[in-house]
Formats: sequence, structure tokens, C-alpha cells
Amino acid sequence: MRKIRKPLALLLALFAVLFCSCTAALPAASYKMGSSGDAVKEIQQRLKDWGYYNGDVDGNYGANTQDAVIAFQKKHGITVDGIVGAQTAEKLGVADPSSGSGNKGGGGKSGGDKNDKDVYLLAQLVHGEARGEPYKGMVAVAGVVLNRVESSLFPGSIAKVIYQSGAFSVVDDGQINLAPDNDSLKAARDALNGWDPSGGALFYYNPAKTKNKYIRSRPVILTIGEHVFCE
Amino acid sequence: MKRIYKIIASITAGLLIVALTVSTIVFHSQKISLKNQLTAFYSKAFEQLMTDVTSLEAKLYKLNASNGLNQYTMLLMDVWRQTGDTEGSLAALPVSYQTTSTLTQFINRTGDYCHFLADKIARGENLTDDDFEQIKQLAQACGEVYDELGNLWQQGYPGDEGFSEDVFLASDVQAGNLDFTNQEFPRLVYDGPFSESTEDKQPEGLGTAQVTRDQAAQAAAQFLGIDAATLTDAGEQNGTIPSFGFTGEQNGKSFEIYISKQGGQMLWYMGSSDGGISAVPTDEKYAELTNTAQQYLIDKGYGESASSYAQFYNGMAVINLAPVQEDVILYPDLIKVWVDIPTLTVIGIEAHNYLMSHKARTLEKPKLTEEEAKQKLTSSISVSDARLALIPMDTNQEKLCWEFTGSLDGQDYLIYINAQTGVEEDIMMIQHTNNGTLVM
Repeated sequence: MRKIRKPLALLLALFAVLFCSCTAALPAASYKMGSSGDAVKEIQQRLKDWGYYNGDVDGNYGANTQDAVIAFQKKHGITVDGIVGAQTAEKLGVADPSSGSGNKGGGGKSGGDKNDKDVYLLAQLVHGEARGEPYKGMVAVAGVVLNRVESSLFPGSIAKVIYQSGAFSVVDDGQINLAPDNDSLKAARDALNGWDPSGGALFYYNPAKTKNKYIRSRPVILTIGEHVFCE
Repeated sequence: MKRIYKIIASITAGLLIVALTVSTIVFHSQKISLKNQLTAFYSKAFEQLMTDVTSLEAKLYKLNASNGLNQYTMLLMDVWRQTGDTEGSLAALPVSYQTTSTLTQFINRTGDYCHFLADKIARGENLTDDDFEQIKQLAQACGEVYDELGNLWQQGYPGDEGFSEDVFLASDVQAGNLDFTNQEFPRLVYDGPFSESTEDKQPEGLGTAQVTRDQAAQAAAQFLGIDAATLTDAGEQNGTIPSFGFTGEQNGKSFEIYISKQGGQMLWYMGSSDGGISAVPTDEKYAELTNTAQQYLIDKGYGESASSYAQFYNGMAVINLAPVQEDVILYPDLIKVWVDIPTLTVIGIEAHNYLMSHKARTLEKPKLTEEEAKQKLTSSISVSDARLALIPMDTNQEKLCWEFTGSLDGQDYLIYINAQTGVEEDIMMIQHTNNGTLVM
């Protein structure tokens, strides 16, 4: 009995720790009037690069910095308070003041813009099909989807093309549901903005993995990384 | 002691067997339930496809039997809408796109063609005998497709055979019995986005001379202002605009550039960016970014350009610029320029549209003045800007229009009034998003 009790107690303790670490609310911190330091410098530099701040990048959060933060918040639909809290910090790409950890962006379903779902779905496909490929190859995979949308041979929307039966293996094995990384999101946006490194391709395949005769008979446009892109 | 172990062992084994049996039963019933759900989903798509095709056939025959413009437009728009549904049902079937792409194309072209005819009527033109002949052919083809689907249905398709678990659980979905690869569909003669003439469009802005790889390297070096000897061969591509690729380094950063084999024109150039935040700059900063991009195009020989909209992500701005000729903005020749926001340097350019469409154009003089064109707008819109623009139509045609920027109920629009006929050719809705401007 004694032998059982000990691990059980340990297990319970472990659960308790896990549970606490998940639910414990950390004290809310922020940068505001009077704050100073490297993080404030970073905030000022970012605001300056994007045109919101004209003062010196001196690490002192003064009235000019506050005005710049207010203008930035207004432009991005963030609650206007002149204080860099978690939301403003994330948009500015500076360390989240409440967690102390850096935020590199990407990954989440952000914003409520009209084309966000297209960007996200396209990025999910790129992430599943082409992560580990050269960046150009990731954009090219997104390009194939957009070329299909434009072609009479395929259905006419991004969702219909991606979820067309048997079209993409990541839909069959569920990898499409993974959260896309930052590169995949960027690749999706680059493709939607018109960069098509696939040269107008409608198909691509990995020659080491496919035996499909039809796809291997298509005229080849170019090879990027592991993928052959074709007409 | 040994007996206790034996008892514990047999109890454990018994419990394991019970657990295994229960979980197998649960797993099996879940599997059957999932299979039933999927079969129902696929059966619905298949039977809906049959309904859609037969309904398309009926509408096309009705068109042929009608002699009234009102009826025409309604039926044509109805066919167009119905083809969208049909395409959706077809795309939901677990069959490979190889076997259905010709059918998808037939459906898309049928819808596209009927939309084209409705547009023709709206412009005040009549349907011709040739149009009716093509409509009849489309109706007949729908009949043939229906017969094919009907045969499969009578054989019990989809049923368990079409969607056996081997089929729907395998990663490489089998074609099954549904195959339209060899089906003959009528060839439509018309001018729409999916018509053969539009889809086979050849680039107009390349020039005629074929260049060698060395000449292409020279062109790339000249475009970038560097020595051709520093470029590395990065292969070539076929496709719409066959090109030579090169990589290199400039200011310590790697880049890649493609030069068309015909004419030696720059297709795209992309440097590496440091990344960064996805945020919208101030209007003043946006103006600086636009100026940078416009000056870049002048330096590279594209001449004056006007900006239309921009996107901002990962520390970059993508500025959409259209060349300007005689104060007319040429949207068919749209060029995209990627600018790094913190350093205000150009890191990429994409000229596919430009190479597809650019040519020496003789622009017509507008028959309508700005004021006359403005009268054609809905009275509820308040106009803030107007300029002449050449806009690309779905059919590769270009039309000279007055472009009005205006707002209605807090929503911004671009409205295009044909500068010769006064017809409202297009309306774009401008979306101001957290990543810049979108035009829908």
C-alpha cells in the first residue's frame, strides 16, 4: 500500500502544478508614460519605422511616444489608451510585457479581415504540403491553388479547390488542420499578391512519392526543391 | 503468495479481455457510423449532381423554345447560378479530378457562356442563330452527362461499391466508375473568362527576339545594376512565360530573378526580407513607400505609374502600380512592387500582368466628359475623385472608362463608367483592413 500511495501522491501533486500553471493569472504589466528601457526603445523604433513617431529613440516613454501609440492603436482598431499592453505589443512585434517572452507573430487566426480566411486556409495548405521546402517552393504551391481557381478545369474558389476530393494529400491525412507557421502565412500572402514562382502551374508532385501516370505525363514547367510543377 | 499473484494475474487478464472487447465494439460501431455519414454525404453529392445536370438541361432547352428577352435573361442567369451549384456537387464527390476535370470545364464554360449571353442582352444586342445552335448543343451534352450518371445510379452507384471504405479511407482516392475523360463536349465559340481564346491568351508585352541564357544574364544584370559575372544559373521554367532564372547577392542579401526567353524581359525579382510586423503605416509613410516604388519603376524604364492599393505584412508593403499613358491609368499592365518598410528599399517586383498585356496603345479620346459620366452614377454616392482608366475585362478586352472614387454609407467604392457609351462597366468595393486595402 505504501508503495502505491507515494506515486499517487506525486501524480496528484503533478496534476495540481499543471492545473495551477494553466489557470494562475499573471499580473498585467504594460509600458506607459514614465516607462523606460530597451523595450521602450524597441517600441519607439517600430513606431518610427511605420511613421507614427518622429522623436528620438531614447527609451523614455514620454508624451510623444504616447501620442504615437494612440495613433497606432486608432489605425489598427485596438482599444485607444496610449498604453502598450499585450494587444498593442503583439501588433508592434515587441516582447509581451505581461509574459516577458518575445512574440514572433504568425500561427494564429488573426483579425477579422474579409480575406483572412482565404489567407489562413491557403497557409494551412502550404504548411501541410510544403513546409521544409525552399520558400519559393512554398509560394509556388499556393500559386498552384490560385491558378486552379482561375482555370475552367477546376472549381472556382480557394476552399472548393483545396477540399476537392483527392486533390491534396494533406486534406486526406488531416495535416491541413495544423496551424500554419509564419513562413506559410507569408507565402500565402505573397501568392495572393500575385507572385507566382510556379510559372502558371496547375499541378505539382513529388517524383519520389507519386506513381500517378496522369500527373507524370503533364508538361513540366520547373522543379523547386522536392516538387515538380507542371501544366 | 504465489496464489495471490495467480489470482491477480487472471483478474488482470480478464479485465483486459473485457476492456479490449468493449473498445473493439465501440470502435467498430463508431467506424460504421462514420462510414454511414460519409456515404450519405457522397450519395447526396452524387444525387444532387444528377438533379443539377437535369435541371441545367431543362433550362437550356427552355431557352431554345423561348422568344422573349425577359425570359432569356432570367433563364441565362439561372443557368449561370445553377452551374455554380453543379460544380460544387461534382467537387464533393470522392473521385479524382483527372476523371472529372473535363466535366468541370464543361460546367464552367456553360455558365460562363450563359453569363456572356445575358451580358450581351443587357448591352442591347440580340441572340443570334449561332447562339441558339450552341445552346442546343449544350442542352444535348447535359442530356448525355445525365445518361452517364443515370447508368451508374442504376448500377447501384454510389452505394457501398463506389464508396467502400477502401476508397474513402485510402489516401490516393480511386477514380471509381465515374469517368468523363473521353466524353466529347461541344466546343463553344464566344468571348468569356473561361473561353478557349481567353484561357489560351499569349503574352503581348515580350517583344519578338529570342534571347540566349547569356543575353538573359546580361538583361538581369542591367536591370539590377550589377555585374553579370556575379549571377548564378538557377535553371529555367516553361509555362506561360518561359524564362531563365538567376540567383545572386546584392548588399549582402540573396535574390532571385527570372528573365523571359522571348524578348529578355524581367518577369519577377525577389530579394530576401528581414521579416517584421504586419501593421499598417501612417498615410505619410504610405506616401513615402509609394514614391519609392514609383521612382523604382521610372528608374527601371517602366515610366510614370499611379498607385491603386497596397498590402502590408511581415515588415513589407506590396504596392500595386499601373503605368500611366496620356493621363490614363492602364490597369491591365498592373505591376506589384515589394518595399521593405523600415529601410524604404525595394525588395521585389512582379511584372507578369505587364508582360501579358503591355503594348503600344493608341488611346481613344473619351466621348463623355467627366461631368457627363458622373451623371450616370447613382445619385446617392458622393464622389471624391475622378480619372480616366483603361480597365481589363474578363474577356481580355480593354475598355476606356471614367473611374470615380466615392463613398456611400461609409463604404468606399470605385465605379467605372464607359467613357464612350456611358455604360456602368464595373464596381469595386474598397475594403480597409488591418493588412492594407483590398479591392473586391
